[in-house]
Amino acid sequence: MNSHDWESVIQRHLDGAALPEEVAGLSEQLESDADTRMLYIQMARIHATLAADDLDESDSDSFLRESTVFITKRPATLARWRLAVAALAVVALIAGVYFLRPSGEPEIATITELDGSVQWTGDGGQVTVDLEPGQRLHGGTLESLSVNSSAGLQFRDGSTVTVSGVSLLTISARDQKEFYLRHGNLSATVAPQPTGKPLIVHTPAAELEVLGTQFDVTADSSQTKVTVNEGRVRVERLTDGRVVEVPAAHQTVASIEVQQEFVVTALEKPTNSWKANLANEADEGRWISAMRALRLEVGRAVDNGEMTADEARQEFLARAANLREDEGSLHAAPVRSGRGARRDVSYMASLLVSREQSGPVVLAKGNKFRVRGRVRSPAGVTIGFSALDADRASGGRYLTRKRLEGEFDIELPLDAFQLLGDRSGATSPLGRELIHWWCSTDSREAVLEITSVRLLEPE
Amino acid sequence: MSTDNDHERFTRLLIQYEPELLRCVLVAVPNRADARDILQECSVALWRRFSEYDSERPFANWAMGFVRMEVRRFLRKSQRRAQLTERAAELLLQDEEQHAAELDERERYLKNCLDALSGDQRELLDGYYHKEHSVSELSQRNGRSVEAVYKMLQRIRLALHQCIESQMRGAEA
Repeated sequence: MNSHDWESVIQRHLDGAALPEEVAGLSEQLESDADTRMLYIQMARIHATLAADDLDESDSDSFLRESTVFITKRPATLARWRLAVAALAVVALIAGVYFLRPSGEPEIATITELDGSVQWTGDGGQVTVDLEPGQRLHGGTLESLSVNSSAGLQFRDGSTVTVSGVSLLTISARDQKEFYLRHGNLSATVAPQPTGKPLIVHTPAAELEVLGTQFDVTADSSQTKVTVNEGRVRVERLTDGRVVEVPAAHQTVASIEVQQEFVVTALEKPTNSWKANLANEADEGRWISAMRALRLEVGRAVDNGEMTADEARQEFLARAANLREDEGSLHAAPVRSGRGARRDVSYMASLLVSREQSGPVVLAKGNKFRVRGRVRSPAGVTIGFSALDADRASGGRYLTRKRLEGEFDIELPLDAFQLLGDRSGATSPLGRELIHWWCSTDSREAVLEITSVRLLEPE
Repeated sequence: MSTDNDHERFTRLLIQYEPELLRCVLVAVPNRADARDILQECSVALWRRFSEYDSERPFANWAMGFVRMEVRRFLRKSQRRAQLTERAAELLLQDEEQHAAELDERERYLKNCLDALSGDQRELLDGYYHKEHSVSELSQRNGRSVEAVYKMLQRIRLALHQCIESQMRGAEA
């Protein structure tokens, strides 16, 4: 790339519009080349000066006014939106490859289980929302659309795959199995594969080669976590081509940033308790730190003429100094719910338990969930979790409903939860691994906030 | 124990140096909302340690150490998103400090260059940077595609960069 190309990447990065791979490449270039750093600083200072908005009014007409940095309302960020567009473009590209292939391909997998909102895109781009267990699939893209949805597939060789939470998985219909997990969670039990034709799993940050094993993958645009329960998986970090082999009862995290550690670690022993890290484990919902909430509060007071900007700063500092860094709440965000073509909306806060844990959280007799939070108006709330058996072949979603009002602090024993759907086999969550936890309401007015979630040790 | 006097002195210093600190944060973390959050955390850290501040030393220099620390912490926490690496951000902040005099000069030229923009260009910058409209909102208001708005913003910043370069060369000649 020449300086013109870097200028273009720098500009996209300034607007939050660069792809993670582009930002990784830019970082590498900035680390090694002083000229690119100078170009970056010059461009970024223009952006920074305009954004910091501190030029004198007299010098630049009315459009650059006094700084309002300290007490401002946070505007919607562009970065996520742009990333979403980029992700859709990637999806469209991948989907396009499959849609353009000739029809008449063999069916390669059968749906074995379905929960919640799931759709399939295949056969020339045809989208199917009314999926049913037993339905056979050609190559295409499976989307699990909400945190409490999941789909199980069985392949002709007996291998099984479960996709859960908000996930996007493209499946190739060639004789060698290839999966493209763009984001989300995949658990697979893979039958021994033919020599020289391992199952390949592509993710944005890593490529996995599997001969026959049981493993879980969680991927997003910049990192992939691989946990191997049985067998062995070869993981290549795409940014630098480094490879590690992950044996049973071990895990690794491959980041697109080469500075991040890329090592194999042993899984910790299962525990029967969990304290949610709301900021880092949030899957649906918006984390707002207590400090930011305070800033908004004093900002509103300034807007309403209840205090001056100087008084607001003093108030902010006096109160913020006593706040803990991890203090805050997870605000429920709108998500699509309902099966098939229904387009219901609910407001959900959810947590992906495995994101921060280095060992499984296994549910035991006597466990209770303790949930704290608040609702602005009384509302019916659904609290649920998903849990899987150790072999990942079976599991379920468990729900309970409560009517909540104002500030709440509730304890929910596991037997308060009902297994969703009519299932054969084991129905108890005991002994199963906690995967997702969520809380949702259909009431927009409720403005549901979660401030703490814990799985209390069995008494 | 901090006194009211300390509180007032600290607030005054913070108000005075806030734009300069924010500009530094925005170089490493261009997203404005993230940069403000970093500065918020930084201001609280500065206040907690204000009793250690030696008033004989420039406040901005003392505060920059905290800015670097908070930027590093933010980048570490948000490693899942498209952010610069900690190393790249650190080098940028170092270079920025090293070239402070030149960058101040460039900023003075930026003011002249802004005056040379067309009405449409100024309106777009006003909407994006001052009114903080999203690109999607701006595209609806202007009847242009989102991509076209991004391109326009990038072209305007490039034009400002080229204008500054030309003024710098003129000053040297």
